[in-house]
Amino acid sequence: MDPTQANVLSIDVLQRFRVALIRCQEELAAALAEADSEVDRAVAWVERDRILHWRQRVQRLSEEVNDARSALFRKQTVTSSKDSKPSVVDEKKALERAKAMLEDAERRGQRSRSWASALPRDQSLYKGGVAALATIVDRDLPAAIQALERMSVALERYGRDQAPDLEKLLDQPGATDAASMGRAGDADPPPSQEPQP
Amino acid sequence: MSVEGARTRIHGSMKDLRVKWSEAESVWRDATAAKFSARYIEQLEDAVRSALPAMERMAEILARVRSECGDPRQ
Repeated sequence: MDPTQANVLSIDVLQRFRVALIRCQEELAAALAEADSEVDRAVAWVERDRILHWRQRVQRLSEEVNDARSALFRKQTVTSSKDSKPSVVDEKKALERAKAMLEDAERRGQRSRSWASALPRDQSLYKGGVAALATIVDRDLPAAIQALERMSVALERYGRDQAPDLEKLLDQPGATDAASMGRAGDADPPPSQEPQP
Repeated sequence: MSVEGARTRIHGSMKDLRVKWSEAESVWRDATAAKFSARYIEQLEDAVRSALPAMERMAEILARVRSECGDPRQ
């Protein structure tokens, strides 16, 4: 068989591959859209929510540290009735806990400000990394799907009348005839270009 | 869906597509098939090869952002 000619099963395989390509195109488009959406949400979360959140949290925890420090001081200056000093273990623990929480909030606030500055740049790099795929998914795969559809239709017509030129169909949307792909069992080039009576 | 989930989905979709293309290639062996492969399949593979590492890196960045900016109480 001429190596440029395909098997008759090509029609079925082309159609099956076309269905697979449609599914793939839909899944890639959905995956890219949802990934983009998550990145957008993360940028907005850091810029609009986190900085304010940690600023308010630092303010509240600073007040808690001051309160804990005051409570410790009051306890240290109190003299019990037996002239012995009361235990300040709990107050010291409360102060250390409040200070640790404040330090953590300050660190997270600083990181939020840092990410608010860096994340848009990372987002741009990410968009650049997926841009080629996004273009192919939006523009090229629909063209490929249409080309496969034209070829399938032309091959089916070939079964009835004329041989299709698949390369022409690949290159020129809307083209419908000529020949490059034969049918299984065709020992010779595809038959006449003329429509059969 | 997370970026990591999207990456996994793309990886899986491409795996399925490769199987189908391999089937198609086995019975479609003319110049048009080669041209179709070069124009669409290979371009798609190249683009996916570029996109997946970018998505992996973005997923790692977002995980760090959540860890460093999130509130452990929430």
